[in-house]
Amino acid sequence: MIKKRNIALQVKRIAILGSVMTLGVTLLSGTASAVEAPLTLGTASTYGVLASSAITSTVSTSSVTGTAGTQLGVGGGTAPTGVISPAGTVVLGGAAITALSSASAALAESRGGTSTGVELGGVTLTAGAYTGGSFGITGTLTLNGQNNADAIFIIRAASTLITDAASTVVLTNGAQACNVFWQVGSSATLGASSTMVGHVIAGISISTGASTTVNGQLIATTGAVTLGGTTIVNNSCAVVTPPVVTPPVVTPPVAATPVIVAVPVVAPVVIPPATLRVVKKVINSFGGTATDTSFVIHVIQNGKEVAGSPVTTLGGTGRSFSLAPGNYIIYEDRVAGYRGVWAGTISTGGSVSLVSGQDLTVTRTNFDMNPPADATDTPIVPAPAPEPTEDGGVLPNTSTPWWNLLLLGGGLTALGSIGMKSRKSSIK
Amino acid sequence: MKKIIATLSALSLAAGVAIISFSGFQIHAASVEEGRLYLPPVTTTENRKTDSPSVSPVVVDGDFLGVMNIPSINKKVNIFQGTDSKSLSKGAGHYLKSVMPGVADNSVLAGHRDTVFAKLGKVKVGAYIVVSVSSGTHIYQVKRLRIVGKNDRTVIVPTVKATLTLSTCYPFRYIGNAPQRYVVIAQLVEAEAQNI
Repeated sequence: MIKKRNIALQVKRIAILGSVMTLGVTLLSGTASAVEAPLTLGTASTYGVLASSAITSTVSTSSVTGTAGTQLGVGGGTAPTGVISPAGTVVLGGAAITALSSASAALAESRGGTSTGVELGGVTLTAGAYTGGSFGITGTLTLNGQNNADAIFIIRAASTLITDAASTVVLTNGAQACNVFWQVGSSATLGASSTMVGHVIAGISISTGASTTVNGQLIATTGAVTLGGTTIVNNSCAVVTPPVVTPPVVTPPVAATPVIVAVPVVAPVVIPPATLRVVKKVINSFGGTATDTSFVIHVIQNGKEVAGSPVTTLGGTGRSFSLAPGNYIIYEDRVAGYRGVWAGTISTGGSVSLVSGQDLTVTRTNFDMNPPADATDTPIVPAPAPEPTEDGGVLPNTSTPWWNLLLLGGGLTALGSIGMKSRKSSIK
Repeated sequence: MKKIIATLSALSLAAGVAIISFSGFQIHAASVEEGRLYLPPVTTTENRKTDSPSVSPVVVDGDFLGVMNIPSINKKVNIFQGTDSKSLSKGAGHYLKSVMPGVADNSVLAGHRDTVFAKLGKVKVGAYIVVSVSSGTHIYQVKRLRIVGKNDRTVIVPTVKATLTLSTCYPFRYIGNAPQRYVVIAQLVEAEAQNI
């Protein structure tokens, strides 16, 4: 009987292996794309071009079309200049500032990811997060969706993104422009006649050359967008009917034995669990006495605590949970006088999404609040209408006299030494 | 004539050495004193008394505003209103034409490179900064580090998000008037008080 079971198991495994092999690429893309959720752009997504200070179209006519929204937004309140036609509604200040703040949040959200070299030209990327200091495209960057219409690409440059003239970004195998996000720390410069794809969010400014095409959005969170004659198409994601995938329960190849039915093999496909590590840090600035062992952390899924939760003593190095892939919520019991901040791939509300085999570390840092005013946790009401910060203020002089005095002393010593020396040589 | 030159040279040499010793001593003393500059805040509660919704507290130059803690470099600093030499000799100075910490827009604090902000160069992106002022305790996270010329006008600018900008002279060990500024830009983080 035992032998029979083993054979059956074996047959089943072979069958599964077979179906996995036939599915090949489809399965692979399924796991890869699940790694990243799209960045949340909020109201910013309805803008073709969104800038903090100004939008100008300098050389020739630019246009903004698309199904996701064609608005032009400027936070600073100055209307766009130059010819942009057709373009949707112009939004100044107000809603544009709100949209900019959503975009800034999306820009700040770091997903980590694969560290990638500067040159993206000639490179093919599959779904996932990529990171680097700065990026350039000379030639063609290919984004391969691997037959998944929801494949998300998040490409993060700490400083700049500069594309060469006539460079292009090509989408293959179902990749969609709406699922491509460029997080550019400072500025993005798109070369003349180049084609860019995706939501380009720059920390400072964006400028484009003549005859450029952008399938997506241009967002400059603190500076200006300068267009040199750009066709912007801001489309929503197309609803793609999933590619016809043969369901995994295919007829096992050849060796179809009746025994299979009788064997209750539970979860034959071994899905490696994900590891969630929760690290705790406590920062006491104002005499707070709590330590990392004073906090209780819960990890829950569908309202139920997972095995090992709640945790009372996390220690500095943290505590690991081995969890099935899925969505979880992590929260902490309140400790009076403390506030907490999450760091890592976790939402402000404490939700995390784990994929198979992932090793995710999230850090909860707690801060003691300066008593007594904060002990009640009353919402902080800022003073009514504070004077705005000066635009272009001169940095305060933070020098002390001592370094200047040291310079003076050095000068005098040098002068004295030269004088003494010349005197000595003249005596000789 | 030669005698005069000789005397002057000798005097200059002596004065130079004396001044070097004196200023060197002062720089050393400042770095020693730096550790002691932070005094436990005694005036926070006083400040709070005036902080009722109807009465807007009037802050004048040199007033004690609150305390800043940068845990990653283990540095606590008192904050005073204004960036004149008097405020800066006591702690960090709050730039007058900038908003108070904790509200949207850019709040600018400056400090000496050899005292309160001597270790500012060791603060990394991602580090937390905790600021306690009359409106409450606010948590910032460092987003960007910049080194700019002393006449750079792009640092003190209004911002959409609540931002804290720390500025000090750069290079940190420059003999004479340092020509640059080291700038740490941090943004307010949402710190939830309740469960979830």
